[in-house]
Amino acid sequence: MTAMNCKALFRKITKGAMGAGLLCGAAPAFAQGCALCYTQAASASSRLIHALRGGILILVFPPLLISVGLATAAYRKRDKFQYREPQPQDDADLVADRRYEKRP
Amino acid sequence: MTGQTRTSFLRTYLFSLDHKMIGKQYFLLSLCAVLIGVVFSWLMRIHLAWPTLSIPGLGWLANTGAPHGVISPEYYLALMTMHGTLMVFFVLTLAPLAAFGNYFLPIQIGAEEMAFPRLNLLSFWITFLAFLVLISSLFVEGGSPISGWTAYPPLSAVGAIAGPGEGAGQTLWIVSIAIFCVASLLGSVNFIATALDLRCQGMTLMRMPMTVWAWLITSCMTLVAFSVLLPACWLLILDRVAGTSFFVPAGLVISDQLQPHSGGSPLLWQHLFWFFGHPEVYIAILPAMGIVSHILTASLRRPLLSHKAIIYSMLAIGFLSYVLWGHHMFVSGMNPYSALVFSLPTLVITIPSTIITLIWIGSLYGSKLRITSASLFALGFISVFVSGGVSGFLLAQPSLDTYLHATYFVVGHFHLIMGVAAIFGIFAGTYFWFPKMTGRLLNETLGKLHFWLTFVGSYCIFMPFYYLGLAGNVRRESQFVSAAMQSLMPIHRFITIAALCTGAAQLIFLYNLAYSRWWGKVASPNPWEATSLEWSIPSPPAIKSFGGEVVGVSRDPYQYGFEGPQDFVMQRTGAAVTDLATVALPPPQTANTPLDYSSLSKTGMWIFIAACIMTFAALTSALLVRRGSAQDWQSFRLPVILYFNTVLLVGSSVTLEMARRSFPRFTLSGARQERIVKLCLTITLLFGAVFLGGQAAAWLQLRSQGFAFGAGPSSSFLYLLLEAHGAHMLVGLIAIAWVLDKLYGSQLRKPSLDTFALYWHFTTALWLYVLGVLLITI
Repeated sequence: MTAMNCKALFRKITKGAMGAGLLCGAAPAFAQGCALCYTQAASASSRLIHALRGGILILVFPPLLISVGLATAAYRKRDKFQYREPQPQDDADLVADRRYEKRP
Repeated sequence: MTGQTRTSFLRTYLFSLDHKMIGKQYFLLSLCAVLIGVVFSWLMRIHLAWPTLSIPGLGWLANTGAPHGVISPEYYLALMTMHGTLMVFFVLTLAPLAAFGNYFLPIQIGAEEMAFPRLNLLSFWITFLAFLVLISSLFVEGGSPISGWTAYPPLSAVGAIAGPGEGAGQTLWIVSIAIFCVASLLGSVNFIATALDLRCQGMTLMRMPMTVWAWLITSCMTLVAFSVLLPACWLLILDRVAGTSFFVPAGLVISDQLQPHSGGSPLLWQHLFWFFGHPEVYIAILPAMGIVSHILTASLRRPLLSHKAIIYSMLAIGFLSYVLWGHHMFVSGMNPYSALVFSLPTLVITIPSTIITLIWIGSLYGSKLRITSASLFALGFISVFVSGGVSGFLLAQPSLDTYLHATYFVVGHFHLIMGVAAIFGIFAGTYFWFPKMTGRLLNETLGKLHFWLTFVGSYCIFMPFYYLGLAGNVRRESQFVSAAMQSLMPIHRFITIAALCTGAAQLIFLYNLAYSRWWGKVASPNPWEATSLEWSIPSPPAIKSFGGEVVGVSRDPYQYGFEGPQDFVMQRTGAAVTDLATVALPPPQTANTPLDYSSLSKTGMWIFIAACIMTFAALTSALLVRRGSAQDWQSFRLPVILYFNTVLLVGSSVTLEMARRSFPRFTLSGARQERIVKLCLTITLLFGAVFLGGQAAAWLQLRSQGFAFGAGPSSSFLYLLLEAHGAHMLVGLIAIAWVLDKLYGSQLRKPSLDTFALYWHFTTALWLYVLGVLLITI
């Protein structure tokens, strides 16, 4: 193993150890302890708890899908650019006709 | 400004389409909001320290809330509500994102303008309207609301009977927030489309500055979070004015009067509000993180240890922030597996924040730090971010949180991490970009004085809050009468004096801002020797920032630390002012491909559709929770006409698709194809109009059967969903009329038709979804 490889391996191990240290050292986080939340929930029927569970799950998935969609769109456009023909400087109307052309 | 033609005052300063002017407008609006917010906080602090003190002039301004200038408990709560609302919505959300983002995002990616300039203008004026509506609540009978910036029901839902401010004031508050949501959504559509589609030649995603990444990620978060707060506000307004019962439980008695509501749940508001509220913390802080990273890089004269790690960490924060709010619901007895889903990201989100902080601190080592006002505020940001963040670890412990959550400890925590940190980011951005925005430098001596007074002052205000919290001092109370609390009064007085002094120190900033704007030293185009695109153009920029030139980049934005006559290389191709022969640059990457023409409008439409999906998901979620919250859910048969309408709407989508597919050919095949397109579009318009008429008929039929809007939760949701979808259809009908008009005038272009068709098909799919939900639940 060359000195370079050893150094790279050492760096990887250090980074891994730091990551593991961060995970191990993270404090357990539970509810933020909102009194009204607690009172309402504690006095709720099992029917509400069941409904709330469904309501929460419905709000979990769309953001995930939207995130994936936006990430995909951004990834597909990562190497794309817009090209607009130079406009005369004294043209006050900012809504110009955009044209997209192939880069030479 | 250079290159600017003579235009009217209105067109130049008020209704300009120039993103830079709109950015300045947002900045000034935030400045107004922060001034009012700070005065409110002063009044609160003075009252806490000297409860019986008569404040001169206040009795005249608020005769009922503060008779003879002495603040009543209710008026204290009104001040607290307005302070929180102004600061969270109109300062922390607006200034770092809308103000700086509007001004610099297009420039930093090499674009001449935002993707949709008119939408941008509209967004600002809607925000301004929201601000006016909020401020007007100060002057209506009863004054501003007393329910805090979280507006928890039932206090915020039952009307004037709940206390002063809960009448017209609370209604205006909710309307203002709903309007603000609309403006934020429009703004985020613009930001995302601009960042994705208007990047200049060579500006790949990874070459975007960290500020642009921060604004892009924050806009995505804004899109999702405000799309849920908007329907939550609708429901709250309906509870107040239409007699519905979404949030108000049955049997509620206020002032010996039984409230005419049945079976709602305040928990539903918390469920919807915290879906917005939790990401809002990150919406406030992420742009400041981007700004601080950008400024630090220029000040340290070297790239940060890993600017890619910062970008990935910000992405992780943005992504995780969507799935955190469920930890507010842990106590609801949710499925243990669901709790695990929420607890894991709650743990994990600390990691990217820690990584970013470590990168900032680590990058300081061995750097050639240039001490300027901007870099001082950036370093101050790190300091207060860490101070506020560390206390978050304590609050995350349930055993400690039970004791601390209603105390000043929490006040200190969120003010440092969310308020002071973000405001330090705003100050850093102002000192850094002021020369670019105005062409003049801010006075550095005054700037540094301003920093030290603000930095020390902030710690003097907020660190004692931790002590007060640990001593058991409860928050939200306007007077502390018990003997135990009396012993803490000297600390309260110290905090109040510190708050007054720190507030007064901001006069230095205001003076500096005003003086330097007109008489400050003239700034060169690149006074900080920074590298990103905004520093390659004149200060201040012309209306067309790049003078109509084609802009290109061939390297990442943080090329610092080179040996040679200058230690940096500009990102812009052709603008390098250093001896390239002496520096080792990464190889330029030029293998880019162009976007097709229709990309921009389609991107905008997809983003808008994403917002609509979130809104309807929130309504569905609310429906499910409300359905399970009480026994007052009434099932009934849906009118048959709704099924007929469904067939019509699906038919309209088919005819529209036929028109869309025929459209590109008719220019080649002549009049026959053109006639087909016109016929198909006319049929689509007709079907759409008949659909809306049919929906109205369904309404009337239900009403005649006794199902009024507020008659029960099931009918409330039915009408609400029909209305929300009908509003989308109405927009579609107006759009199709516009398309037909353009077609008859031979001005219709394929991308416009494609974008419109996308929207129309979405409304059809949306209706099928709404009908499905109604069939399952009602």
